[in-house]
Amino acid sequence: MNQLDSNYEPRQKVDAMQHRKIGLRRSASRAVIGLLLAACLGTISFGCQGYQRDVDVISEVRAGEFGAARMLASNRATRNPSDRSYMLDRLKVMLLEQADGVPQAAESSADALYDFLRTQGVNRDNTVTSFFIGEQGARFWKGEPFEQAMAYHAIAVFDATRGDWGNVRAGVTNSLFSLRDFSRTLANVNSLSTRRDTSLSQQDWSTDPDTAERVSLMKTAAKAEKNGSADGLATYTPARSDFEIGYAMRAIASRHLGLREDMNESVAALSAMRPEMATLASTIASGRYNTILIVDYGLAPRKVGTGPDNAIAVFRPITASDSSPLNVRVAASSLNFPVTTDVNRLARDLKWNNLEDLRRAKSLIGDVLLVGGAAVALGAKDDEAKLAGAAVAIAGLIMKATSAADTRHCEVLPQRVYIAPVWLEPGLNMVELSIGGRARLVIPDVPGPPAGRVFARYARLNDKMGPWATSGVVRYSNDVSGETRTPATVGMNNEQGVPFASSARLASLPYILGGACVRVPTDRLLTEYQQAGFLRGVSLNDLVDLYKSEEIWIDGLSPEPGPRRHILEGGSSLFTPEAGSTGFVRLFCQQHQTYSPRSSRVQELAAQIRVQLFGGETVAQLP
Amino acid sequence: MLLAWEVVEIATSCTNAVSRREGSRRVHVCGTRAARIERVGRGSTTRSKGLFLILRTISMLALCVGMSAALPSCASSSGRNDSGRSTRLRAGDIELAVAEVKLDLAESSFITSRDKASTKVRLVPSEMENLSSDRMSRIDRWSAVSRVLFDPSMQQLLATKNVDLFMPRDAALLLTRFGTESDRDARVAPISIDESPDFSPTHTFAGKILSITRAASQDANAPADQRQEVVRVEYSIIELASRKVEWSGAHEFKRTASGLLID
Repeated sequence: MNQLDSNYEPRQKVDAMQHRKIGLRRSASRAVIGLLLAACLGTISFGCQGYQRDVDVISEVRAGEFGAARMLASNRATRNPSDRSYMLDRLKVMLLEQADGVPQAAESSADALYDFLRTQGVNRDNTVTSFFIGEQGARFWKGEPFEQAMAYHAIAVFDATRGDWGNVRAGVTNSLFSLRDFSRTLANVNSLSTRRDTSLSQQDWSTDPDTAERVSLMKTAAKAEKNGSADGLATYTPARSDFEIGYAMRAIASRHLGLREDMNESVAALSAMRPEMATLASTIASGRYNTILIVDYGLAPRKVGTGPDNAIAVFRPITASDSSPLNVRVAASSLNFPVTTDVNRLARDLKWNNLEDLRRAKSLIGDVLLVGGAAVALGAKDDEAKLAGAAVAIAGLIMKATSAADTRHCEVLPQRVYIAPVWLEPGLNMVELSIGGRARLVIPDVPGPPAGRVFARYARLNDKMGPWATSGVVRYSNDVSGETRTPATVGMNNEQGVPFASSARLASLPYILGGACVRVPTDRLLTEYQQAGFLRGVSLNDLVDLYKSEEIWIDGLSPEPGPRRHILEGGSSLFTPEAGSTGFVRLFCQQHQTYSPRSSRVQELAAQIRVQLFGGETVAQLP
Repeated sequence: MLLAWEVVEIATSCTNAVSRREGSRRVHVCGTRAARIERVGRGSTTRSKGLFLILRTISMLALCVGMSAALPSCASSSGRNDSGRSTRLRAGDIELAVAEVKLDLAESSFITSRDKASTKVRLVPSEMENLSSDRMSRIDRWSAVSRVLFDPSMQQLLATKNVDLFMPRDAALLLTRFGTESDRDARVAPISIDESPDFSPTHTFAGKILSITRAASQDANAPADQRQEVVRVEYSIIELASRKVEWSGAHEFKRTASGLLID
């Protein structure tokens, strides 16, 4: 006893010390738990963040205002190459630059994008990360397979407009990768579905066929995995690509490169998969064309999260699919071309989706853990089990929160693509494009290629384009059209408002000096100005200096960073968009504000020219 | 973050933790630290064990969350342009092809059978034709041919064989702009024959690049994650009047990459 008693007091002290330690550790642990819970909440809120479509850009695209759209997209694009959405931003900017007819600006994006697409396993190291902070925060955006194919196609269009058919063939060949066909797994799902799956039917998402299909596939895969049999998501048949536009472009490029066998193979594939395109395929094979019109229309579907925990990604159409042909009028001929590729179809097709099995598995694990953990926590009789259950439930919550699908997508991709091989006569041609009475674009001054050459022209149509889309009249002298015959940019009125001077001369006067010419300065152009009675005694260097004093970027003369907004639209760049592009029509087929010089030098010269022309009468904007 | 790491440390150090009963007391021993914590009463003991469990679970999560913050930055540096992840042509591939083809040309009968007194040859390179499965920039295509002909040693050799070299004006300007021209003194072909009646090429130096692609996966059921590219670079000298191929040379190489093609 004594011995025990003697030992008792020190032991009490030891216990007290240990209790204090335990108390301190408990406090620290509570603090840690608090912090971790806060971190969990942070993770949950991070995981729940969805992708925000750029509504301003979309609105500009709908109106065909690709100049504004590309600048908005460019200004909002991340400049950080390690950003997870860097390539998504590059793709958007590139698509809009192409639509605006400024491939010189799109070149660097096209190169970077191609390099990225060709890099394998970009997200190989992000598996664990995406498990905990969600795909959107962890994975580099590379797009669903159909987005990748469309990106390759966009790069091929860029190369085609520059006449680089070797690169076109290379680009589109990469877009024709093998796909995964899950139809057999889905057939099993359908045969099993006679026994009603109540857990599925009770959910709202089961009414949506696309979501239901995906949920079925996921559940089948999970069940198979649980039963120890082959994973349903791994049970697929490798399928040949049905990317029609890829075959069409490859056939065109191969023909141009003299690769007959390659062309025949592509043409045969195109005819076999879409019999309605047999005529287009035979036209491509015949070579009775000298211009390829590549026409995009509408907006690609929107990607949303749906199903359990929003873990399933589905695409909802923005522009509805239909079979309206593209009507092309050139001179007296009128031809119809079928829809080559419907992006809505690709987005809906499981073959063209990535089916992020990790995401689905994660969602499933989250569910299991949540149910199991909560059940243990509520039903357990001792604290230990309750705590363990709570821990598991928290883990499940985190996983659920981060299981939401990655809804990043390229919202400026088109809904459909047409390919139209046509014949243009030498010189400048008027080309009229229309789609089912909803969209129409009249493109003046499309040059016919030299004999033996094939040119590609790219235009993008939408159904809310302004009156400029159909005016068909070039109002400004430019590097494609030359001197315009109808320079209605600026009217010269006397005080009574009556035009008294011919405006024809304004076609040979630089826009920055009050005229209607936006051609890039050259010796030849200066001579033309001088023959029209302007800028006598001025050298080419002086003329270029005038632009420089206005801080205007000149295509081919100024260094990087390439064209931004055109001076006609209040910007500071002087360039001519690609002939045949929507940007060309928008820029030159409507009247713009009169230029307001910023430098005193240009202001003085413009004033002198006004005096010279009209005896001091004011230069007014025509209504 | 420090706290999180402490928790991780506790949790990992307690992985060998064992509990044993000593009379009415439960003793919880963390093996690695040999830390001995004794509690009195069953309630506190179970709470302690529960606490360890929860700490262990959450700390592992914390570790993963912490790692998740670190991993993306690691991935960002390794996610792209890593060797072995792309079969795209690199400058080095072309350099090797050029070096091999230069030797081949120098030893060819087209060169060795000629001397200073031979009939003059006016040789003009043409842009390399890209028939491969990858894009190739225009500057790379021109470089691949100009580096063979305009290498100083090759120029010296050709001069002794009465072979004049001309560079198309556009290509010369392009190469100069990108700073890749082999020799600034290389003669540039005039814009048109009208400008210089003497200029009339007799031979052209042409190049072509081709490739065969194979994609597969190690597991038959898995998506393709291996890609192999067999690339062949061909050069030829063609006499323009007869279209006769006077010389041809080629270089082949293989490039492989791993990682999911689709990802």
